[in-house]
Amino acid sequence: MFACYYTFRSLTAAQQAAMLLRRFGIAASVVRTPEFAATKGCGYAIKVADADEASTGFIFHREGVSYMRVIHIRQDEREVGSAF
Amino acid sequence: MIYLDNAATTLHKPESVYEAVEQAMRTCASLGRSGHDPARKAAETAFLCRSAAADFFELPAERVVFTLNTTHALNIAIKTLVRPGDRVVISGFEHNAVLRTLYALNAEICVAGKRLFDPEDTIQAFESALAGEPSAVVCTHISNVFGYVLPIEEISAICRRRHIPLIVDAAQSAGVRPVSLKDLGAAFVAAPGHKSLFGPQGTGLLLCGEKPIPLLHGGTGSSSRDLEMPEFLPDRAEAGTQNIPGVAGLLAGIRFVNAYGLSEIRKHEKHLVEVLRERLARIPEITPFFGASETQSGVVSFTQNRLDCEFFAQRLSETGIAVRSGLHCSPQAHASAGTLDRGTVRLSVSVFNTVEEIEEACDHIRHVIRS
Repeated sequence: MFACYYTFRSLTAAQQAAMLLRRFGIAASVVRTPEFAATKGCGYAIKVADADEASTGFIFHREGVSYMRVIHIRQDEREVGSAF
Repeated sequence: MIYLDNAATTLHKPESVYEAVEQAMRTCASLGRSGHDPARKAAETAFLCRSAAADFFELPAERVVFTLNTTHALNIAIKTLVRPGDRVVISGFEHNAVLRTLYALNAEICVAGKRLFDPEDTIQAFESALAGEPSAVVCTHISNVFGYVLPIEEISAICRRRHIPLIVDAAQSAGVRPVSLKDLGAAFVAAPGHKSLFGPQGTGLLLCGEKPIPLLHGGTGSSSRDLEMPEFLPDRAEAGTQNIPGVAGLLAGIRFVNAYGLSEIRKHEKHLVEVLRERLARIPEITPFFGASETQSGVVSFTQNRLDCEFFAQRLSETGIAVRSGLHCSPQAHASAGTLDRGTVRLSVSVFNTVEEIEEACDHIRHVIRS
């Protein structure tokens, strides 16, 4: 079981993206970016279920939402992969 | 007490504002620092307020920056666009938040339009002043002394045509008249949260058409490894802990204004000003400054020769009428209107004032004059 974290450069950007996803019925919560994934230190991410990754990516692409990277994190909170 | 000093700050707020501030103080932690529930609540409150302001002023949410007040917002805006010694055009009715900042920058200040309640003259003055290709234009939307509604749409059109960045001081217009960053095409609009948006003191907004230069440097809860302030908004201009209880109150205030409706607010204030105009006209010893209805907001000044204006205001205060007197932090406005030597007594209304209050205030003004 994984969760997808889409990281953003700012809290406001993450909040806007979460609001967008919720409008499309995707459960999205704004969380702190895991420190190992925060390339510049301290950031915010949107956490969505692994099953929603494809839809999320599609919506972000269509709506022109820029994120920094996608991280897949296991239930035990270890990273299993990431993409930009 | 009849409170008629709303141009300084609104004292009477909607009940929802008091409740929102208290609720935020009890439940919200710091914005953009942690991931726990109280921090998430703070983040959600800030986002809702930013979004509400963004809809209200027509710009993207991330371009809404929280400030302490209009002065703070104007400082960011002016220090972004103006370098020491630059030529800047301002109106004849600017507040010291503009004048002092430009003076500190040793800017070459060109004052355009000093005729009160004369929009045609103001437009022409700006047209010729901008031929000198200033670095920026700073213009108040409504004079905080006389309530003169400047032709900001026409001024902004001139600035756009000449590609000169415009900073609008919306201290007296935000929450009373439509202010759209998109329509004005301004570089920046500065607005208070604590006047006609009914938020608490300690709140303000900088609406960013351009990217500001940071005035404060510090923690933003983002990109912490970078020693430079973030490039992106709003973080770039929001260093340090934000006034989340204030932001919560401001959100409630914006919602109140939306629910009441700008046109209804304007209609109410217009009616109060008409009553004021009619009543003050019955007191021959005073000289009120009024413009035609479309150029006059709910801020009205008058002079009289009986008492120093500060003593006059003090006498009114003793009878339960709260007004402001003196130069109102706007010596430029007084210089333009010819009242710099003695100042004015200023009354300023809000939606919470009633016709009865205006009539009673005028009765007290007459009484102070005659006693």
